[in-house]
Amino acid sequence: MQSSSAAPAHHAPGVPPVPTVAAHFASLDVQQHAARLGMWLFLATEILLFAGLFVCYANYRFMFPEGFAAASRHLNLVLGTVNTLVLITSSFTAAMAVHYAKEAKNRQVVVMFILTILMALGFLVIKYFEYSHKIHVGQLPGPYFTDTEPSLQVPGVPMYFTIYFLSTGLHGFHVIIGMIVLTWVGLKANRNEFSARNYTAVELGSMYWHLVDLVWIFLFPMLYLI
Amino acid sequence: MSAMANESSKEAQNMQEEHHGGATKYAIIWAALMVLTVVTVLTGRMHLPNWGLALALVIASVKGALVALYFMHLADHQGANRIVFITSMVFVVLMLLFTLFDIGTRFRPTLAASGTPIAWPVETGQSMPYNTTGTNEAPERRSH
Repeated sequence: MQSSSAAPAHHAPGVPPVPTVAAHFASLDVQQHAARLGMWLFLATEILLFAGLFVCYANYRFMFPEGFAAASRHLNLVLGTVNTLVLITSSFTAAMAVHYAKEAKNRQVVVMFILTILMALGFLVIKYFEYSHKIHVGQLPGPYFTDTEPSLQVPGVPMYFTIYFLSTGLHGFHVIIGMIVLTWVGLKANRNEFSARNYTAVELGSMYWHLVDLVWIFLFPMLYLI
Repeated sequence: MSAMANESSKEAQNMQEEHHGGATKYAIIWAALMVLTVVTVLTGRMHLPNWGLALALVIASVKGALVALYFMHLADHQGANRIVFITSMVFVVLMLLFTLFDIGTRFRPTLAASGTPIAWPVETGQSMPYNTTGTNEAPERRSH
């Protein structure tokens, strides 16, 4: 526990470097508490960012209930459901990474993050197929909507696709950011940096990923299950 | 300052205790989330007339709560973290409610001409349900 010699190059449980405490923090506990609180404050702003789109959705759905229902039936429910299950499972592996980081099992942290990133990639690939189909048939936002399908000639349908692309696009952007964050923390785990005394980066990185999951949990019924 | 330090050392203790059950707990939450996803898809496909949206939102909220409490460790952490999360949720609800109150209590001519809200504004008692004629056209309603 006390051995604070040079960080080992290979996996050796129990010898990760002891984290440094910044001068303005009373102790490591306080420092970690502050880091966690800061992350929650950031996530609160993220929640409010997405809430703007939720408000947009709620109001236009109130105005155009039939248009929204008609447009929603043209989303691929199977792909949407598979994506939800993929994202929830990736959230589970991200949570497991925190569990392993606390036990200083850095190798398993790396494995869990690789699984998480692979599932994130799978999510984006499925999203790509959904998008390319929408672009192909012309189910696009606002004035770019060109689909001539009779069941879609209802007021509000182009607005639905505006909100669809805005909200899934912003969410997809967060998926990409999350993948970058998890790669970065995964590289730290690969250098054997985490232990019961220092797993803040793993915890906060996973929290970001859980937020991405949390947002999708609400987007999925809103867009696919009307 | 000392209160803060105490609280975080209590958290550290909680985290230590959680050590054994951590993996099992995450697996249980994961299974619950998967089951709830299947449930919401099945109930969503039924196109329930009145309570479909409410049911979907309740299921989504339960799933969201499970993620926030157990994956994001809000159940283990006390104090400021919870207050930040709850406050943001309160403001999301306020933002939703106030904009919906606004648009929901407007008169027909102030809404989008092609919009087809079902029956509104019902609470004010100042107008009749829309679309009584079966058309999407706004009623001819001039002031006085």
